[in-house]
Amino acid sequence: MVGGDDGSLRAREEHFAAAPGEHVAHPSPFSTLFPHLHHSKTHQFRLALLVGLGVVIALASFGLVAGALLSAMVIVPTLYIVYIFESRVYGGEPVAVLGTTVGGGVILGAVVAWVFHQMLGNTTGDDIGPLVILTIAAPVVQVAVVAIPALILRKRCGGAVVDGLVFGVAAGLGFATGESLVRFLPVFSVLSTRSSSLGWLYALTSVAVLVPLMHGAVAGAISAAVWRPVRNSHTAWLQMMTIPVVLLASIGFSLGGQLIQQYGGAQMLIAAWQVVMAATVLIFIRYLVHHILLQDLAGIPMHAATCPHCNHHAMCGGFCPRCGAALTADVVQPAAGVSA
Amino acid sequence: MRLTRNVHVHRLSGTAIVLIVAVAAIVAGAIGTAIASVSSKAPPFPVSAFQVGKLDPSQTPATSSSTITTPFGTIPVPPGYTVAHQTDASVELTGPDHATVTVSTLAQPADADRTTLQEQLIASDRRTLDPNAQLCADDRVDTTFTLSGTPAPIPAVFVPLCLSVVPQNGAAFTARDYYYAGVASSAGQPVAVVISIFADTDAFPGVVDNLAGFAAAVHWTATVPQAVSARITLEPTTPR
Repeated sequence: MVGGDDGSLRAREEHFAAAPGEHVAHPSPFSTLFPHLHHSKTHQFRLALLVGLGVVIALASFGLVAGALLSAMVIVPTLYIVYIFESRVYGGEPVAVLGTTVGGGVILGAVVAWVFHQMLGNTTGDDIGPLVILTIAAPVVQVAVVAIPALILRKRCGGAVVDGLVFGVAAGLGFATGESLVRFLPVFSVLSTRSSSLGWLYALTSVAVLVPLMHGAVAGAISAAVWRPVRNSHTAWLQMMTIPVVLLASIGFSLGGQLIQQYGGAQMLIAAWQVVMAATVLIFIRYLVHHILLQDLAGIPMHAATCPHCNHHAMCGGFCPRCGAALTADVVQPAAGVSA
Repeated sequence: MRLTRNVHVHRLSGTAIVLIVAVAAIVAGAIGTAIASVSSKAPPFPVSAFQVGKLDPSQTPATSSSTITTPFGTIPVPPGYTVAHQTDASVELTGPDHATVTVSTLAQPADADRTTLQEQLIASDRRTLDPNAQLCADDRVDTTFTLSGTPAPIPAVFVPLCLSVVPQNGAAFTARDYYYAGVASSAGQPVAVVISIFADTDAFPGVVDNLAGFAAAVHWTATVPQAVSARITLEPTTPR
């Protein structure tokens, strides 16, 4: 029990509102980017991700690097589409919501990557001009546009900030897929069906996990922050700091990786650095969502609801009296025959 | 107040979630493998023998507006190229289409010959650019060349390598790294002399046109100072 017996705000400051079993600063990708997920479902999604990564590893180990690359590009977006379907966050328009967020993100990511490729041509990015464009200008453009597909839905769907986060993550994952397609399709012709997978481990890890995690987190943070106007000064500073934080993290993600490579650092070091950058954005999202939820749910009157996290059905305010989860971060099931 | 009725309804079972992701991954993998299989049958922008011949060091040397004098020789700067990096042991020139030309000397073991040098060059590209770097299928290793040198021409080997380069940022691309390299003797110590021409595959024919006669115009003195020779490794020759 992490909240008060009546679901109040007592003892909640350090427990993430959407997943009260975790500290708010715990950079868990699942509880942060899948905020509606039922606790009992989390391990199923985690298992599905591991199975997907297993397919990528199997393809790579058989020398099917091109297949492994394309497979890596679709795992996390597919998982997220399943999550959106499962959480029913799309209201009554699944095709429109998924098409706008994931589909729009794919197109946007492909277009942005294609434009930068046309500007620079084929380069390793070591010279100062390409270095600045690829590691500073490109992240600025990505941050500026990555959440657009989600924000299109803002007026149409309205709803909670957590829904904005989910739509943003979906758009970011689509963006990552479009970008990776443009980035790697040029070498598919030389990745014959029996290429050595040696040396592709980092690229596969990046395509499957690191880049989707970063783009998804960045787009989710932006979308959550601007999903609705600032309502009070308590969360205003977090909302206003969102763009600077995700911009610095995005530049750090690209520039840090490039510099580590240029100075001969191991690919494992690059991956570790990029995980740190993504974790920074995840923690920021948790603080942002946490404080917005605490503010929003503080004044909610008692009503009958079922907590999707623990399936407990009771009269409650903004939080479940048993597990402490924020109920607006979940699919609230009104009690049959009980007026909410 | 407390009710125990479970009204939460999941649309998908755990098995279904795992299956959906697994099937998506397998289908995407199959599509990727099919694309690679089909596209690998297309010719990878081959560089013609005529074009490669323009690089032949035995051809007439190209004229150049400027020349760089180094401890190991004189190097012409081809039109459109600039000096990006220079040390006592190497000169790196960059030109149009991100082409990179590196002229360098390398310390070699006592038993070095053109065969061991060829193996070193391939290993260097595999270590720094592409673990799958290999000899280009449309070109072949040629050992009939000589490089211009004092006191005598240096027997050289032509090593054409084909690569797929994945930059940390930006699009992946296919590239070629053509080496003209020989083993010379300096103060009783074997040293390698290496010319590397690196560019992406699409741009390579144009790059070759621009560099016609370049290899012939590089003149090696093959008098690498011992101090320099001792610290040189293959790394500085790797084109960017």
